[in-house]
Amino acid sequence: MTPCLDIQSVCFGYKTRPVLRDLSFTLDKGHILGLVGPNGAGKSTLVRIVLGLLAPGSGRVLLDGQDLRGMTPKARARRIAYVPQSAPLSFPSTVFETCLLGRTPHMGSKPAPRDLQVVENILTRLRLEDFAFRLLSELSGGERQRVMLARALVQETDILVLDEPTSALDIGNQLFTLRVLSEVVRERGATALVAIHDLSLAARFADRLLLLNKGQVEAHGEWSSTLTEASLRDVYGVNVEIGMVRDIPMFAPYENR
Amino acid sequence: MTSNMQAAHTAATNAESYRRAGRIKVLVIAASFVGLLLLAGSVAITGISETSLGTLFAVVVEKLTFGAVAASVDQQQARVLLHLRLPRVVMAMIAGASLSFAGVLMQAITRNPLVSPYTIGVSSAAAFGASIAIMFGVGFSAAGLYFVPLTAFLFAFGCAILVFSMAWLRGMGGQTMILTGIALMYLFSAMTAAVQFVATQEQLARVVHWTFGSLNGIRWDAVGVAAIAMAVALPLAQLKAWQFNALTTAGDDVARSLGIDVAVLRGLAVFLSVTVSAVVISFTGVIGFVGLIGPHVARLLIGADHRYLLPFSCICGAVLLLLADTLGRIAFSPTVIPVGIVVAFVGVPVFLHLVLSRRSEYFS
Repeated sequence: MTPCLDIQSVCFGYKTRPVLRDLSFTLDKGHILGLVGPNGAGKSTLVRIVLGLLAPGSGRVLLDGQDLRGMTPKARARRIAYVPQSAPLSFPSTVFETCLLGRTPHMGSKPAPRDLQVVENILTRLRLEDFAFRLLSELSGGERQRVMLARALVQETDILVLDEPTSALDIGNQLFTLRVLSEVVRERGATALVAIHDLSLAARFADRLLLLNKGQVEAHGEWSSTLTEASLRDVYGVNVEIGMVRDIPMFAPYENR
Repeated sequence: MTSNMQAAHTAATNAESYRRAGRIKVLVIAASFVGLLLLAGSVAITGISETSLGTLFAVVVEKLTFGAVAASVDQQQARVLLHLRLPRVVMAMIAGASLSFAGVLMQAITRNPLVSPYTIGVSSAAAFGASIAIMFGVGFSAAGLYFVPLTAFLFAFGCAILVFSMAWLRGMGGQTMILTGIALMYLFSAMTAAVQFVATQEQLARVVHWTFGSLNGIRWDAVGVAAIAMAVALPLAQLKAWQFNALTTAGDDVARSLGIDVAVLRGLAVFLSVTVSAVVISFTGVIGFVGLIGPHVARLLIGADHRYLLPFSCICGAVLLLLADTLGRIAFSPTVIPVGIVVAFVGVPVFLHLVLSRRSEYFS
């Protein structure tokens, strides 16, 4: 596999508190990398560094061999798209308008017919076509999260960075959303970094997992070698029993009695 | 197969609906601009000395053709139109447009619907500048004619630079701008009060009059300066309209991930909104509320896409101020109520209505 994003010994700290300590890993073409770890492990900080929104304290992030911080914002936006955990609501804007924003790095001052076409296709794909002219504020949290994903897919990048894309979704929509994401990654030969709390979904949809603990890589690889009962106890501080239901890994945390 | 075709059909309709909505919005803007000009014309001929639209038309044509087409109208009426009514009416439109436009920009970069150019302290800084100019100034001598507006403008701009540098130190965030602005607003208000405390009766009257902005005695040179400011600012902002959409809808991080330099965008928006609003209020005095209501009414009617919202909010602001000034002129004629007071009386109920009736995305 060709590495697409190469994260090389990245460190980061706010003031004196270190958040990330000497992180190195690669994101490979056609792969989804699941980023798991407890609250405060540094997942969101890592996401922002990979997006180029935050400069690492030391180390660097290479995109096809080129330093991410040396690229123009527009060039970066053509390669990396971002799905935030939640969207701020401020002024009334429709689903179609919101998704069309994903075309920003590709268009001049106004959208071309092709831009509208891309939005249509993605809306249909995420089953949002009937919501096209509803206001964002009128949607449920889950629908809104799907709109955020739609906007990122509309951007037509080969790297997708998602921060908790399923946190507000019901189980049906969680499955549907991650299914679409993995299809898109395969089709485009793209790569995705998904920060996610649900270990079962992570194990199921990610090709590789990165278990982060206190800003350091605890384990990296296939889910079965990453999420072991020992590593989960270390990192999350609870006992976890791992079982298989219909070949799907399930994680049941329990407390010692 | 059938469901595929259905999906394709719905999809085609969505893009077409979006395009059609865009065309309708352009038509609405064009039609309301024509409406604004008609309103301005009819307002210009109302007042103590009544004239007709025909007279107005003849006078305007004569001026625009530099006298080539001479107007055969009553010279007294022509003078009233040219030197009293027209500059006042045109200034009402430009002032309303400028303040409303500045409001849209400030609300966009702070992502806060309750912000207006005044929130960042521009008006109270201008008021303080005007107050000390009136207190220590050279008065209405020929050389001092621009003294008060110029001082007001310099203070408004200095205040904006302060807010701007504070925000810059803290990474150009929207919240920092609001908080710094409000703090400075209180500071300048306190300093103005201090100045009023030591002012003579006559100075005090002038300071108070200034703080209730009015269009009395507006001259063509003021109109010209304000018009030039808008003529430069509006196209510049319009170029960035799509970026404002991204910032308001998606927030800082997503906007940056879309390739937008958010810090530069904020800087440009502050510069443009402060310039146009400071220019206007240095000539008219403080006219509140237009910068808050204009954007809201416009957004309600035409949506939040800044490509349409920016020009349309100018029209809404212009109509609002034109109506308020006319009301102030004719309600207790011959006494003229300053437009700043009328706007507040008309604007507060309208605004409260908006607060109570708006959907949850506002004021949440």
